[in-house]
Amino acid sequence: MLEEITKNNVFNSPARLSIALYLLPRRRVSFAELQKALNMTPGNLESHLKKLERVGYVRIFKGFADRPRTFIEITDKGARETIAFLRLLKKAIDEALHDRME
Amino acid sequence: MEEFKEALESVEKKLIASWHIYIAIIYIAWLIAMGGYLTLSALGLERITIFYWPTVFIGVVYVMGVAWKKFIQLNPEIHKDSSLRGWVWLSGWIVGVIIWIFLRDVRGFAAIIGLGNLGMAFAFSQWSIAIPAITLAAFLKPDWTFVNALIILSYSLVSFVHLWRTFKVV
Repeated sequence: MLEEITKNNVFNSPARLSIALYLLPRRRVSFAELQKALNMTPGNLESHLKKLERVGYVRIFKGFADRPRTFIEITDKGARETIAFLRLLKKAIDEALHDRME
Repeated sequence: MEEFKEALESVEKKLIASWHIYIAIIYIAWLIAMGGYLTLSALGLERITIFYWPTVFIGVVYVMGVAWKKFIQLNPEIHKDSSLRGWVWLSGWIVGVIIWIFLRDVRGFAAIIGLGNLGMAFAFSQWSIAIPAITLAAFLKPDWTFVNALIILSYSLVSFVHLWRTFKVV
């Protein structure tokens, strides 16, 4: 199971996992909001978003809210994979805690 | 390790809280629509409702679509058979409309609300959504004021239940 977690080359970066978890309950988020919430530099955030977009986990699009902005939303595939990864992490921790108690 | 587990559990709770909020949003949107209609009626502007209901209907259905999309994204188990669930939801409304076409009175309207919400309860797997089925009591007392009161009461109850559940998990 640990191998499955570490070999996940999308969520092996905590930054990408944080982005997905931030987007998951929300409908769409502006680039500026995401940057502020996760305290990331624009360049760093952009590179992680591009990776997430390449694997089909997020959709990046231009929109208008007072002024032209870049918006990001999680896709169905992204939501499914994020929840599955979250459950996998929880299961791994449960097993590790169980082993330690034994 | 235990702290990490707690952090993951808190993320999970936030996700559950957010889908309860999406359900509450749907019912609050309908309550706003109903409140607007009753206000127009009280002001003697019933004629405007010819334009009011189609506009409001499109707006609320849009809100419902957004909420449903987010809800199934957050529930992979429901997402798997979301099209079947969507059809059951739609069937509830369709059967309600057919009854309304035959009866053309308050009982038909109550059938749309009651059966539509029963279908929706199945789609969301949330039996609290079936509360508005109490509007079917209109078959015992066919009266518009009674049905409007039942709609407001039951929709408020559904909103309350889901906001309550939100506070319980966060």
